Order: sequence, then structure tokens, then C-alpha cells
Amino acid sequence: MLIRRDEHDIDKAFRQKLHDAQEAPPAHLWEGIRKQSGGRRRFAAIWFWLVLAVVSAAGVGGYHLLASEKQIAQTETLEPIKKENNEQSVKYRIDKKEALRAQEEGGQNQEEIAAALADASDVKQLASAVSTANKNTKSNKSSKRINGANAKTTTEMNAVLAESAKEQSHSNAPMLGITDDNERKNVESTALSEANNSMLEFDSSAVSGNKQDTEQVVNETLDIEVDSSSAALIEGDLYVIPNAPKHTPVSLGLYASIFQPNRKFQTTSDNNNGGNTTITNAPQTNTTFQKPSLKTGYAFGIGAAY
Amino acid sequence: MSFLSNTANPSALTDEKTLIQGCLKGYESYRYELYKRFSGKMFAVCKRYAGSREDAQDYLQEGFVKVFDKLNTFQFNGSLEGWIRRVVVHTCLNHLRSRKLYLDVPENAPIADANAPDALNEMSEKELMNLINKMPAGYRTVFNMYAIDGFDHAEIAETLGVNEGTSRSQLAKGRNWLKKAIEKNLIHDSHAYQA
Repeated sequence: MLIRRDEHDIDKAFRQKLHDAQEAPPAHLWEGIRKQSGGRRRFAAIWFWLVLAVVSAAGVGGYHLLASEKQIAQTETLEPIKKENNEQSVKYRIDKKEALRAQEEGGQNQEEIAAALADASDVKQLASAVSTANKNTKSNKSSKRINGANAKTTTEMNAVLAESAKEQSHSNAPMLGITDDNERKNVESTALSEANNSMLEFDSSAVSGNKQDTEQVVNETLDIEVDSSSAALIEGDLYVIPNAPKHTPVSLGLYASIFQPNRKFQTTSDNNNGGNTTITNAPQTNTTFQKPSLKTGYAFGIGAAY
Repeated sequence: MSFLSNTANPSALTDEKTLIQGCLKGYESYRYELYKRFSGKMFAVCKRYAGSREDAQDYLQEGFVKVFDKLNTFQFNGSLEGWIRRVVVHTCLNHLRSRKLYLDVPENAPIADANAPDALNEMSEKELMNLINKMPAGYRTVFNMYAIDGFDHAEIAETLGVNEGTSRSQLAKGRNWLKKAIEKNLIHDSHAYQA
């Protein structure tokens, strides 16, 4: 306590007798202090736990959202690869089927061409007949598929057509009054050129038609083929995520281990694979990354809050 | 901690540091011991500022709740009693400030410096306390802060939101009031004695 040099007499008298004066307070005061002080502590504790619960719930909710966003991102990354796998698979099947059809319908074309050639009165008519036959073929959807999907078949058809034109020009030459060998060759060459032009026109049209057809078929088939694609994955195929971030396998693995504990899911990172990341032993169903249920999120939040 | 293993009975001999640590741990016995040790003095402080026993009880209760809440801020730089006294005095001043009682002064009171009456040294603690409780609140607050609790005028001015001149004049007027009150009290007592 400050004691001043020039302390006033009145101040000094009061300070000496009252500074350390004591008087017992009523007994009930302590009870009030104890309750009030404890009450504040309890209030503070309630606030602490309430805030902690809210923060935990927000954290779990945030994680939930983040996980679902990540799932979408992963699905988007994997989807083209799955689609590509399916497309390749479907294309292979289409090619195979259409090759068979091509063989059958190729035969029909040849018959049409042969019939047209028989009716033709000259080489020009022959070429026109070939073109007409081919144009008729163009309108045939299945033929478009054949020629667009299988270049090999088209080449064979070209060869067949060319051979037909040659044979027909030889056999029809006397009938048309062509005796000179050179003239006959010119006619043959013209017929071949016409036939080839006709086929080129047909091919480009067929390819554009085929693109749409193939897409449609692929899309239709994708819907059906997902399971077979996933089944292929169980057999040890690899998903390849082009330029995937390095943490992707870790986060996927962590995510899968928490929310998909019953599913086999192991990831490996291949540094020698041009920056690509491979994930092996994909989940055993086509539900690759399942969003954790809302129940799970709530249960986790309530648990954390508790 | 070993020194707090027996938390049931801290005694009057328990040192302040142990007492504080026990309080901070939340042991009620330690808090009660601290209350017992300082509540008498602090109740007297509250009475000096409040002017009534009832108000003093409220101030003391609120003051000790603050003491327990802020005990973790005590740095052991000074005495624990000094720190508790400051907390309690400021609690009292907060109440007075909210009620603007420290501005309650009589008009036209003399400012002339008063000499201490001879009888002052003969008066008991209780009599002086009664005198203080009868003072106008404005005088009482400044007199308590300056004369008994050791605040200077700058601190008083800052705490009460007045200028230092006001603090000085209030103090002088308070001393005058006390001198007159003591003289009047003596006259009254001597008449009573003679009767």
C-alpha cells in the first residue's frame, strides 16, 4: 500500500484503523459464491462441448461432401476409361458380327452386280449398273455398318467389283462390237474407274453413316455391358487413370477402407508408367465408389459429438 | 500432483501458491480456504465503499466470483491479498459508477483544508467505519480510494471518469465533512454523557 510523505492526519488515522479492518460476512454468502462460480464453470463447459460438437459435425459433414465430390471426380476420371474398354469390346463384337454379315451381303451385292451387268448393253451402262447397285447398297443400313466397320471387307468388295467389271468387259466386248485390244482395255479401264469412284463415294457416305450407327450401338451396348466390363476387372484388369495426381490412390484407398471395408481395394502407384497411376484389384461390383450413406455421416457426427 | 493429493483439508498454514493451484484445479476446499482467509478484510472494504451492509454483501459476492474466475491471471508479482483487494475494489467501483453515486456530493461544501480533530485518534475502528458509511457517496469513494486504498488522483480520475481537479476537491471536501462530523459526534456524546 502507498504511504505518502505528506499524508494528511485524517487520512493517516483512517488508513491505520480501517485498511486492515475485518468483518465477518454472513455465512450464506459463500454458498452464493460457490453456486455462481460453479454455475459459470458449468455454463462454460456446456458451451465448450456444444461448440466442439458443432465443429465436429461440421467437420464430418464437410468430409462427407468432400468425399462425394471426390467420388464424382474419380468416377469422371474412370468413366472414359471404362467407356473406352466397353467401346473396344463392343467394336470388336460389332466388327465380328458385321464381318459375317459382310460376307453374306457381299455375296448378295455380287449377285446384284452380276444381274445388272447381264442387262447392260454397253460399258457405260455396266458402270451405271454397278453404281446403282452400290447406291442401293448404301441405303442399306446393315451394309453401311459392314463397310464402315470393316475396311478389310470393303477392300475385298472392291477387288470383287473390279474383277467383275473386268470379266464382264471381256465377255461383252464382242457383243458391243469392240475388237481392238486397246479399245477394250480403255473400256475396261473406264469401267474400273467408274466402279472405284462409285465405291469411294459409297465408302465416305458409309463411314459417316457408320459413325452414328456405331455410336448408337455402342451407347446402347454400354448400358448392358457394364457388368461384363466390371467382371473383366475382377479378373485382374487394370484401370488406368491418365495423369492422376499422386495422392489419388492413397485417398481412394483411405476412403474405401473407411466406407467400403468389405470390399477388396488396393492401389499401387507406378512411377514408370509415364505419370499414369494404376489401380489394381478394383471393387468387386460395378459400384466402384459408393457414397457413404447419410446415416453413416450422422452416426459418425453424433459419435464425435458425444 | 503430490502436494494436492490430499485435497480435502487445506489448512490456514497452506501457502498461497498451493492454495492458488488448488483453486485453479477446481478443488472446492481450496477455494473455501481462500475465501475464509480474505473474506473478512474484503467485506470491510466493500462496506467502506458501499455505505450499507446489504450492498456490501452483493459486492463481496460478485467480487469473489471474479476472483475465482480470474485467478489464473495472477502472476505472483505482488501479494495475493493486494491482488484480491484490487479486484474487489474495482467491483465496488463498477457498481458505484453504474449508479453514478460517486458524483453524489453536497452543494456549496467548503473546500478549505481541515485539520484532524484530536479526538480522531481516540475513535475505534467501528466508529470510523460508521462515519465513512455516513459520508456522501461522492466524498466517500474518493476518500476511500485516496486515503485508505492508496490510489493517486490520476488513477482516481481515470477510474471514475472525472478530471484530477475534481478528485482533489472531492477529497478536500470529504476531509472537511469528516472533521465536522467528528466534532459534532463528540459534542453529541458529551451532552449525552453529562445527561
